This record gives sequence, C-alpha cells and structure tokens, in this order.
Amino acid sequence: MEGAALTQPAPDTTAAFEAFYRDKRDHVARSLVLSLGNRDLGIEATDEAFTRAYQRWEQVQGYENPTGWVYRVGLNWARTRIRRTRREIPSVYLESATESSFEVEPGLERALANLAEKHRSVVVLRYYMDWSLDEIAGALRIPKGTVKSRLHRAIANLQREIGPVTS
Amino acid sequence: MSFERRLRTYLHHKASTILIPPRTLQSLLKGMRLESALDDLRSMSGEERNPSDHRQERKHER
Repeated sequence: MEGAALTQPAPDTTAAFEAFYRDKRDHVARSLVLSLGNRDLGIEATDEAFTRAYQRWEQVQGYENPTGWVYRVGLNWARTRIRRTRREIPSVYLESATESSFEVEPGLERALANLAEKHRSVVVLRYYMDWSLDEIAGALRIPKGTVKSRLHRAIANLQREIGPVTS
Repeated sequence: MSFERRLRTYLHHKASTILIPPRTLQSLLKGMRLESALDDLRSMSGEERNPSDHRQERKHER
C-alpha cells in the first residue's frame, strides 16, 4: 500500500525530493490543468500532491513512476474537491485565446471541454505526457484494457463532436 | 496529419500557454507547516476534524 504515516524525510532525501520537485512540478501541473480542465484546481492539486509526496518521499521515490503517483494523488484530490463543491468549474479550453499564430482546429477546444474528465485524463497522459498505455495504466492503477477503451472512446467522442476530418 | 497527431500538437501548444506560478519547495513546505499548525490549533480548541476528511486523505493516495 502506498499510503503511509505522515513523516518527513531525512535531510539527505530532501535534496533528492527537491530535484524531483524542480524537474517535474511544471509538467505535472500542466498535465493536471489539462486533465481537470481548470487552471486553479490543477495548480492546487499539484501543490497538494507534491506535499504528500514529500511527506512519504522515502517510499514514493522507490516507486516505478513517482511522477505517476503524484499525478494520481493530485487527480483524486481534485475529484473529491469537485464532488464536494458541486459547482460548474470554468474550462481552460474555453478561455478566450491570446494572440497566437497557432491555428486551433475548429471545435476541438469545445470538444475537449465537453469530454468526461476520466477520458480527458487518458488523452492528456497519452498525447501530452507521451506515456505508453502500460505507463498510464500503472499511474492510474487501472487495467491496460481500460486505458485502451477510454482512449478509444475519447478519440471517437472528440472526432464525432468536431465533425468530418478536413485534412 | 492524423487526428492523434493534431491532438498532440494542440495539447503541447495549450500547455505552453498555461501560466504556472513559480513556487519554491520552501514555500510549499511552509504552506504544509501552516496547515499542520492549524490542525493543532483546531484540536487544542476541541474542534475535531471531520472523520471523513481523514478517510478522504487516505483515498487520494490509493
């Protein structure tokens, strides 16, 4: 079981954690923002998850994918928060675009905003984090077959909502 | 370009536009200590945390 007593790591492991935090924090935060579809919630979930990772670092650093553990803890924390508040949260995908030369495929942002979070999460882990199906299954602690079916359904839903492919 | 490839390109672009406020480890740990101090104050004043909070905390880490 990965949950552990609330203890703080020894000073030498703090240095190892600091390197991990520095290296992964922004990447995890961005993946949580994209998965949850909300910036503030994603950032708060990131801080919460890294705090818990610090408290259990001696264990967490030994896991196959510590980043996956942090991501899952953050995601679960945010899911609980969403259930408790029961409020509609503004979507990062529907924010007005800033000046950019990047051309967004019409309908894609709305389709991502409308996607169920459990489907959006696997999409983000696969196409933003570039994780394999095995890595996603390990991080989310779900069977690989479930990852495959969620991904398949997510892509189908996105394509259906966007409409016919133009290129 | 395949749909998956366009999706990947979009997600990487979108991620690059998300501003993540910098937070040092020291600041994160300071927040943690404040939370812990608040919990101590609550228990000293006899204000119990909701037992479901403890259960939820365990759940997140599963």
